[in-house]
Amino acid sequence: MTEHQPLNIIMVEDDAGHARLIEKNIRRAGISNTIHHFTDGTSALAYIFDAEEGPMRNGPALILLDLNLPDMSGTDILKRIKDEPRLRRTPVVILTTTDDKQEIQHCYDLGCNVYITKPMNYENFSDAIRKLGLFLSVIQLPDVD
Amino acid sequence: MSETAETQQNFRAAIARFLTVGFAALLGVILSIGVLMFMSQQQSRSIVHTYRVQSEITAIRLSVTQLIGVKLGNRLHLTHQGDQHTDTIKNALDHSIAQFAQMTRDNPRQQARIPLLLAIVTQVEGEAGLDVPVDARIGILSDDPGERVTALCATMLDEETQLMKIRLQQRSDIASALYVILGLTAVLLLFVALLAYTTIRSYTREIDASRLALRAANEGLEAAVQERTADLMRANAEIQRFVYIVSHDLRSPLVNIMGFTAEIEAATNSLRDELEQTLAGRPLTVAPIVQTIITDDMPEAIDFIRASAMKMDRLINAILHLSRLGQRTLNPRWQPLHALVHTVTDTLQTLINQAGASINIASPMPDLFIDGVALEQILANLIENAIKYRSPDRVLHIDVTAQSLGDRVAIAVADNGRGIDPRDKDRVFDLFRRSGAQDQPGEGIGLAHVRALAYRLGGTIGLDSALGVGSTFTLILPVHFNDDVQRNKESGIP
Repeated sequence: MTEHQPLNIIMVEDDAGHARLIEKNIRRAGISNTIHHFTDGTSALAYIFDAEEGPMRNGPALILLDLNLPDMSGTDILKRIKDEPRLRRTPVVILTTTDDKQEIQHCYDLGCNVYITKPMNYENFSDAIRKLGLFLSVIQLPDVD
Repeated sequence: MSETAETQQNFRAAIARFLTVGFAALLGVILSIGVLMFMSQQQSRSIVHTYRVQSEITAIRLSVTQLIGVKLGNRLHLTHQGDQHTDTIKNALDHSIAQFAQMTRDNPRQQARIPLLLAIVTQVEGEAGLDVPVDARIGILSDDPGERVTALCATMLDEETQLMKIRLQQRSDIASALYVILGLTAVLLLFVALLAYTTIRSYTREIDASRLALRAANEGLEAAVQERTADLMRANAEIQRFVYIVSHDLRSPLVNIMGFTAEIEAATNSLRDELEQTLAGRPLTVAPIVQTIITDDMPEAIDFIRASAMKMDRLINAILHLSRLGQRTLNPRWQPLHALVHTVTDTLQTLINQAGASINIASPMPDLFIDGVALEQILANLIENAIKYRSPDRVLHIDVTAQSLGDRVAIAVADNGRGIDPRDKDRVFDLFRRSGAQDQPGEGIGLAHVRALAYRLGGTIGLDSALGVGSTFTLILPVHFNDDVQRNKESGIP
């Protein structure tokens, strides 16, 4: 049952500033779930697929994914996650500076659940994160067998 | 290389000289053949003439002999053939003598013999019983006139035979000369033909060689052009990728600047609230400088940081927008320009009405094979600019016209707005550059966008303007968009 397993938030974001802002806003939105922060794709994938408490082996999770990472593209990580049947239903929120339509479309095609452009206008950004909080509170997390 | 060319030129000049000489000689030879032929003909005529003289001499002798015969016949009374017969002979004789005199008048020796001949003939005629005029009877000159006539005629014949010999010899000489000259002509012809052949062959070879060289050069050129085009495409793609990455990565720090500025602002607001509460309860417990910092300095700094970051964001967005423009796949198709312009003005109708502007679209306009979206964007930008920068002193009037220029078409958008300083003619098309009073919102992106689109469509854009009078933007586009560049881009370079 989901009540017994706390939802982990996995944030893959190489920019420390962005990570801090996202975290602050999430907290401000009243979400207190654990946030695991990774600054590169390799360690994030290792956690997602292999870690004891990672979403592959254990527990529901939400993944916040930046597309521009130093070691790989966020879309590669998205593809890996959506190609794995046990992770396919894990919600993935893309958070990036790109508002390129083709890239957004590509991410949705790969199965991302929400795409949020990191907006310049801070009010918009906070708003988006707050909506993300609402999203997290209403989201129906998949049961992990 | 130049030495060879010089040698070749000398060789050419020599051949040309030889050819000229050869042709001149041929002409001379042909002329002399003509002259010789003429001479030979003349000689033949002379020979015939001599034959005729000889036959006249023979006729004279015959007639004289006949007359002598008549005389003998009269003496012996053997026959009498009558006066008529004698007259006939005499007539023939007179005729022959007259002919002879006529034909030999260029020969004084023969002419000198005529009086003697006439005397003897008169004698014979007299003896033959013919009526001879008295003054012609100079007496009997010879006992045997027949003998004399025969001798005289023989002398005269001899004379003619001599002449004949000379003339035959001359004719044979002429014939020999003719043969020699004909031979010479043949040799000359052969020589000239050989020269001409050599020249033509040399030129033909050269033409072939240069044609081959030209073809090779052309092929090389084509390859070079293709290579250059590929290089350019690669460079262009690289620049676009570069622009994209740079502007993308530039936005990342801006998010932080904006985000943490908002954090500072929130903190400052909390501080101010705290300060106000503190001051309300216990005034003069906070240093005035701290108050100034919290109430004025920090909000001012935050506002400047935010305004600059926002501006930077707009600029980066503009660059991103332009770079995306180059990546968009064009979709050209045939469409009537007139309808397209109307679509644009319909979209802008609210703006046009608000400005109280009148817009005139010339008709007819040609059809274009073009990406309609790009052209609509260009026209919308130009018309929007005309509305934005209209003159406050007069009612705005916009004219949209199109003129065919062969395989291109010139589309002009003319207004009676405030105009652009001619010095800024090129500058206005640069990114982030604007002209005139900065009283309208904007980043200086529109015309850069327009120019990028015009280039993308294989066209150009120009400006003709005078301050306070108005501006005319002229867009020159190909009637048929050639998407080679795009094809190359799609097939070869990422």
